[in-house]
Amino acid sequence: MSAGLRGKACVVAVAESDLGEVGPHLSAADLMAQALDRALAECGLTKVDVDGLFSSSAYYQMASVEPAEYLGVRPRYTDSTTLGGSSFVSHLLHAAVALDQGACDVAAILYGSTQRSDSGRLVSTANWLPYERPYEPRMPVSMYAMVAQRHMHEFGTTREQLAEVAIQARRWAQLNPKAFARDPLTMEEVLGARVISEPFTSRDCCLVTDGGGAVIVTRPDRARDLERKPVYLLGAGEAHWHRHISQMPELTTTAATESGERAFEMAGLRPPDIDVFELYDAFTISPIIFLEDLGLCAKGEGGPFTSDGNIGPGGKCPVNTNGGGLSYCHPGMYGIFTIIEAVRQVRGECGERQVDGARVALAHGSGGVFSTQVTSIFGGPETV
Amino acid sequence: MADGNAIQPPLKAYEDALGKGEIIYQACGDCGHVAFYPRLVCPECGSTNVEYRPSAGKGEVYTRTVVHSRDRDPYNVVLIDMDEGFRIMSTVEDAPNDDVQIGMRVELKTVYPVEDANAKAGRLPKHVFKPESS
Repeated sequence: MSAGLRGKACVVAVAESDLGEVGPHLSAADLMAQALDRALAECGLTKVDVDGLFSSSAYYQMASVEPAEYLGVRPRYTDSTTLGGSSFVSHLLHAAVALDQGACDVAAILYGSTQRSDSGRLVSTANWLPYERPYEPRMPVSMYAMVAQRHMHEFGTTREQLAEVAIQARRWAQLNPKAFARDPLTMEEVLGARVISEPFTSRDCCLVTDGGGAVIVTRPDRARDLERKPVYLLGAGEAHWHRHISQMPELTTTAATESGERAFEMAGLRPPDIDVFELYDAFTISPIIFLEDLGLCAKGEGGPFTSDGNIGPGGKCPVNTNGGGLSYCHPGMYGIFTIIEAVRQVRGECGERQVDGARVALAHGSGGVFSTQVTSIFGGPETV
Repeated sequence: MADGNAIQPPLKAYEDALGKGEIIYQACGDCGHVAFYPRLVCPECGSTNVEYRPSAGKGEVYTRTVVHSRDRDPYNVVLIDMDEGFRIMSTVEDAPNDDVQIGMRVELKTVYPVEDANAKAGRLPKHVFKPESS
């Protein structure tokens, strides 16, 4: 795949559905319809133009088929790839391949979930490993907690450094009117919150919200006629090494090392070239490990790196500028929202939270228990 | 399964061994790779020439967490690096949760049969560990 797909696909529209708590009578498909409608309005296409459909869902076994029926879309290219929360970043890579091959002309990536209105019950199709289930780890928080514990042991990462990730996410969220949690968050609140699975308190864990998203991808020739400045996919890569936590080779290194390398290679860029990072933060340990695995700092230095003021507003390495899964929204799976924010940052339309001069943005999705890793890199027309 | 006739279903082999108070792991007859859980192939080289061996039941805590739940007392969940070179999830009894830390030496304590296991946890037999006796 290498450099072959660089600049061959571009995102021409992104949109969220209503977020937060939408109420008891809306479905996941309703939210996908709402998000797609808004995305189509943004770029001036209609649903008749959509001939490639991509979705993943904990609600619908045939994830791309359910919204297609609802929307009245009859795709000639369809993809229900399910990798957990990273699925949508994977869909982007798969869409770029399909577009490049002419298998479709306009791809829509869709997601919706009413997890919060469903009483916070984690709607999950996760299969349990019989060799893990009897020990009753709380899925998935205990698995991430065990990663954090090992990271603390090997590298001296501190409880406060983990908390700093949540605090900086909240600082970003305070700049995002759409963020779910915008009250100031202090170190004392994070450390003093209810313990869920040691070392995590409830403030180390992502939100439970409703929400949906839509991303529309096409080829540059088609994008030129549309209303919005296209944002180009410069690089993308995916990798997975395990499904279950007891099968993860070493708990402190993820397959993001490979997905990142593949994305950077395709883009012809290096980690310091990235202006803004959207890193799937289901738990506070996640951005720490992804910054290491994506090459922003050395292995083991993610803790000090995140607590030295680098990742928050005004930092030299802005991370999760929308407030992330920790403070903006996390409806079961968050991956599509990393793309939405990366694209908006490159367009320069993020208002108070806009990173000055952001030309290149990275969106990284993670799924399962650090299992599936997908990295994507975006830039404006001047970067192609 | 080397005879190529009747294959030994891996999960059944694991459960049967637990019934005898043993944890089995997989060793590859071709490349020597050690793995857990038992499978029909070696995840290293792909060979079907694999055998299931009983473990001596000793190892070291690789990582841990303590789950705090509203309906029961806090309990630990650990990953253990076994001396034979494979890793499993389990829990450590006979020690306060705060003492169950990374690097702790542990040994197999017992296996709780299916009927004692928490139904919510899938009604599977469950091995538990304790601090290694010196």
